[in-house]
Amino acid sequence: MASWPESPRLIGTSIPRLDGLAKASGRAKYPSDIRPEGLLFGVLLSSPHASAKVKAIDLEPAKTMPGVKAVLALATAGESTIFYQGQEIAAVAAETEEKARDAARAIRVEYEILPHVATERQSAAEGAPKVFPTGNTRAARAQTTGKPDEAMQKADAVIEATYELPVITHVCLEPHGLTAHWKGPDSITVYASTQSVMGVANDMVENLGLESANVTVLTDVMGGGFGSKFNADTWGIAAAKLAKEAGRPVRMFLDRAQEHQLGGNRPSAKAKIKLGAAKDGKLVAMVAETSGTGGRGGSNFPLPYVYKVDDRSRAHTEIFVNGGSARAMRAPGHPQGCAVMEAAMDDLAAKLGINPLAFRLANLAEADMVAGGVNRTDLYKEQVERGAKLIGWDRWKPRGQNGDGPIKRGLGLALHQWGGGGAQDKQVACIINPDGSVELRSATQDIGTGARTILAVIAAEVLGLEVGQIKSNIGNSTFPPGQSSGGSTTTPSMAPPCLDAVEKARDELFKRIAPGLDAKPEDLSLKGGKLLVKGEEKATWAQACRKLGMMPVTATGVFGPGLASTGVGGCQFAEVTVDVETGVVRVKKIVAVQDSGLILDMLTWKSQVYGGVIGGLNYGLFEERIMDEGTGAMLNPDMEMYKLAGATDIPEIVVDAYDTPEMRVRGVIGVGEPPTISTAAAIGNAVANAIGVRVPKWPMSPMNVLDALAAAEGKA
Amino acid sequence: MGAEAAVRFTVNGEAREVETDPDRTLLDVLREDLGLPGTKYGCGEGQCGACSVLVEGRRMNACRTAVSKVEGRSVVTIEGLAKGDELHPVQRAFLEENAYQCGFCTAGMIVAAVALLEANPAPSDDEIAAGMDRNLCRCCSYPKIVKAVRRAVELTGGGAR
Repeated sequence: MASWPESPRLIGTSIPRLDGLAKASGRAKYPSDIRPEGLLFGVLLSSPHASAKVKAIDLEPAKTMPGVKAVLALATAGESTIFYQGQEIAAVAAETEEKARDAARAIRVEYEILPHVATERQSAAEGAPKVFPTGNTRAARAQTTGKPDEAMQKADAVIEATYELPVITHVCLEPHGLTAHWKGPDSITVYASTQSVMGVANDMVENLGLESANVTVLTDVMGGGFGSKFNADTWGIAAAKLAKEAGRPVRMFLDRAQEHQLGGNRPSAKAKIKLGAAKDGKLVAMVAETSGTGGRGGSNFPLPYVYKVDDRSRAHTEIFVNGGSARAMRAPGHPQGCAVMEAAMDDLAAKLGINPLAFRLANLAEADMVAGGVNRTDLYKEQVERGAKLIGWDRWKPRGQNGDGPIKRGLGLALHQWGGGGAQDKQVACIINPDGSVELRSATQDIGTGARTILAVIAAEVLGLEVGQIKSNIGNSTFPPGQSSGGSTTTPSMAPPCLDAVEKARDELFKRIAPGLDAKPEDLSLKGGKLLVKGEEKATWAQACRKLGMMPVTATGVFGPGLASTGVGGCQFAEVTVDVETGVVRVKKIVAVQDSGLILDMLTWKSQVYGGVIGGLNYGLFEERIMDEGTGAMLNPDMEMYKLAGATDIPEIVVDAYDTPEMRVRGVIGVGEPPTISTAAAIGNAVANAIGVRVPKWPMSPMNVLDALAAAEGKA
Repeated sequence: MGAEAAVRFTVNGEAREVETDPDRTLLDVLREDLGLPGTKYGCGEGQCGACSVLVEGRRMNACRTAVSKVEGRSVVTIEGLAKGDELHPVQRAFLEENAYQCGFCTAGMIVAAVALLEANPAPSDDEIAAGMDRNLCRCCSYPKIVKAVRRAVELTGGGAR
């Protein structure tokens, strides 16, 4: 049975990316760069209205415009209902993008404009227009454990507060889309910007009535997904249909506004929380009423989060609005659950007059067992201790004691958790060629995390080669089934079958060449690019492979027990300054302590944690979808008024890998999501610590900070 | 769309002539007419910097630049920074520091850094952050990007190019 090497040469060190040169030189071809001969440009016409009936669509004016090769209706006159601004109406393919845009504009659509609800507030108003015939909300029954109301009576301190996070959008830098190229009447190759080549292939098969064998989806590199790019989507299928009609390849990518409007979003969250504790600092009860909107989709999030409250009730209500549907976004639900829980924890600690760090440690479950018999509470305790040291928590002062001038300084912390386990049904093929080249194949893809590099690290480790000698071929749906890039599952799903495949291929190589060396296969080993017989160098890798004659070695690897695990903790600390005159928050320092089992490549691992933290800083300080209640339109579907951090917003970030021998024996666990969960929560708590007032709404924008200060002074 | 006209300019040291609507964006012409897809579309509004190119050595957002505006001028894209197989020091620095994840912003980042070092060959850390602030990275690789620019300063000995 395969197992990770005990004293690895490469695994766990910092290995540069295999795709670095292509990216730094500008030679990497993204799906939106692919330009097959005869390429046409696809443009999606989307609805300007948030709520409407499509009464008539006239494609004729577009069809006769210069350079237009195909036009397709995506809505049906007299039938289609528009639920959000940006919903798909029609698609055009033309010789140039400008001609396609002109043609899309020429399509005549008659709408019956209906009243809309663009925000949670509008949706909940009395007599509000209905998003669904059944209404604008769906309330779930309260989930109750123990006797929260009774227990709350015994609390020495109770806080009751409402915390809110807005809808945010993914803002992948490469928009959603694909290039569709028919290779014959019933055979298609698709270059998709996707986090699931298999998902897109499946969508093509189902929507176009093609045989699986005739669909190839390729994703060499892609420009970000964050949970929003698992499928071909309406526009991707439209591109394939337009390409068929025109008899030429079609490239169809959303523009930036469409990207915000229909490329997916993270649901909002609102939590009215009553949380009580005894004076010894133990939580006694929680009663929470929560809600959120995912457009027409769900918005639930975990609560309580991390901490143990035996007596609790929680009721969640889905609110529907005329907005684009939510999609999975980096650790779905967790940043929201973490932010509201950690805010309540901090406010209660302040009320009790207890150091918030001690209060948290006092309220972890005694045994929070995760896979492999690991007690996550023990992890948290050590992680919090490490984080506290790195941020300098001994400088922490209670609220209201953090500066006499207008600039206040504050510290905050938050804890998070995630699964990060993998699937057990994925495969990797390993091919060792007689010329010494080594190829790995799987239908997974690199969303930017370094998946390609990580598979090569494993192969190089086993074969005693350098990482650059391994050809890591992923991003092809026709290869052995691979994992979608989501849920922090890619590495734990793909690393075990990769190890298995390479070990099998190595063993087969030994079996085939041993007789020619007058040795037994078990006498052979590989080290430093050499073949060893009983520990003695006998041939170079290339010479050894040449002994294969014309027949390569091929092996397919599958999952093996003990190579991957699931269940991580982690904590983050933030230090901020807040100008109480302007409401401007500056993050000065963030400490992120993160476990994730066996770390395969420390370099790409750290990149993930940095990215997660700064993503969380974005949610904490800047990001917000702003809807216009009057028109139902998104007011900031761009990258100007939809604020994102730039280089000057980045604080000192300390990434501390909780990389202990106990963690390494757990095997591989994914890390894409956990480090983005608690950043916004920690920033919110640091702001409250600085200014002595809870800012109950994210982001920590000047407006929300000043509103909270004004409310505290009774001015709002 | 306006009438087509010939627009002449230099791209990566080579004289080019394009028969096109002069109002088309430089980004579109580079990517679609001249076969240089290294420069990316990110926002179409000059806010994200993914489309950064050098025009007479200064950084411009190609998505907001009509191709007619570069008539007679010299444009350098990410593809034109290396001299043959020899990468530009800024490219080498990004490679050494692994200053990217998905890499979609990288071309714009590198071009912006080249322009920054052209204007200020020995910037302070604050000047690097300020100079790179108009380029957005959604994978949030900023710490490594800033480090890469610092490394590029070392590689050039404070004298880019």
